[in-house]
Amino acid sequence: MTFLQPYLVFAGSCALLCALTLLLLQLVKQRQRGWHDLVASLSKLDMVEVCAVATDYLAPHSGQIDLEPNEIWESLGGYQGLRKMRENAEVMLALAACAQQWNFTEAVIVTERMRLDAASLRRAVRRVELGLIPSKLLRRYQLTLPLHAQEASSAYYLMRQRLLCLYETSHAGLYPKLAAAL
Amino acid sequence: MNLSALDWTLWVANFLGEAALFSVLIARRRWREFPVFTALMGFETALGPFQYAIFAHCPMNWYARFYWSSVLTEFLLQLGVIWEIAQIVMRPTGTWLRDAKKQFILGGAAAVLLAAALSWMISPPASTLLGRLTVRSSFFTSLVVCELFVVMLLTAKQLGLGFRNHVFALLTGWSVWVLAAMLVDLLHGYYGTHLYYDALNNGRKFAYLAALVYWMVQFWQDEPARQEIPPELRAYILALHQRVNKDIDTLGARR
Repeated sequence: MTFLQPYLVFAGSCALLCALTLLLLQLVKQRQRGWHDLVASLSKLDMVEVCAVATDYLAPHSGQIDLEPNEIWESLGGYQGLRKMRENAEVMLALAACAQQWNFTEAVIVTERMRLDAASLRRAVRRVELGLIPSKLLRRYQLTLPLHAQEASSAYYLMRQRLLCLYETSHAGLYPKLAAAL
Repeated sequence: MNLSALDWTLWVANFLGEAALFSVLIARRRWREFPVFTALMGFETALGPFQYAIFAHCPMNWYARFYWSSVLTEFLLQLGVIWEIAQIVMRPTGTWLRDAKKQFILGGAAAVLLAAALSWMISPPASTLLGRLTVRSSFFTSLVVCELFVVMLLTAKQLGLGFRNHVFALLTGWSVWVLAAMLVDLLHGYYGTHLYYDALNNGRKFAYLAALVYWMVQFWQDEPARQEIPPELRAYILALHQRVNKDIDTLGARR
């Protein structure tokens, strides 16, 4: 084991150096991005399907367990869809922060609400990721996987709605482009 | 003390750079936002002349005690500056965001453990225990700072938090210096305290000097004006966070 130590130290330090450099470069790039760049970086999702799954969770109605786990998973685009939601959530937060220059008070409150939604979204996606690991120890997460996927979609739906409403009142000129991208 | 002309030049340049940056932080009233960083710069400015005076006029064991206490104080102040940056970045409205504090503290604790393990693993070919300890402690400090920056940047990225100009300058300048310091420490760990020791140390000093100049320029300039959050809005956001945290905790307990 002792002969491995220098290699472990070297590999660990190099990984750390690379991670810090990468994160710094991303931060510099992020600061240079304008509103249009942010909108262009949003990934497309099938919002009709996502809205159907999210409203089924947020607004219970008779026959609320009709939606099958497989249907939920496919409607959201599987794990790729959830990843896109998580990435879009970061961009949406940046877009909400942008709106502070036109409508400060409302934008500050909406951004905070969206941050809390984003935290729920991340937590739900993390649980889905745990459920995707084929291990008996994580059986609990495998069973609740569709529930957490639906939770993630509802948090995403709320974020999207909040952002669109914020732009509708803050900057009607930019609203159509944002709505089309989301 | 046999110092070359380059060593003297770098020592004087570092001292002047630290003193100038400290003056900028005081004169431009940046100490209000960055009290710990200002204290660190004040400490660094005073440290050099004190260290030299003790080295020249006092017994060696006094110098050793002074050296190790100053290393510890410097490390604690550096941790304080990281906490200061984290507080500015992760509390954009004056209250910690859910997950941010927990994630940062847990990540920080893991970072310290990992840094301790990695520093313990290196075996610098130094002849004395003190020499080995010096290389290990320096490597440990660089690792901890580097890891905490990674944790902070990751958390900020996930939470969609922006960095204002001064905090961004502090973070980037320090990161570049830490990256250089870690490379130097890695090479010290490999070569020991004899081979290329001074040449590598000079590389670290040049990086630090560059960071000092960068900070001086950035902290001299004002940030774009920003609208302050009124107290009522701050109170509303605090209540919103408390309510949501309570709801999430209640839901979590029921599951």
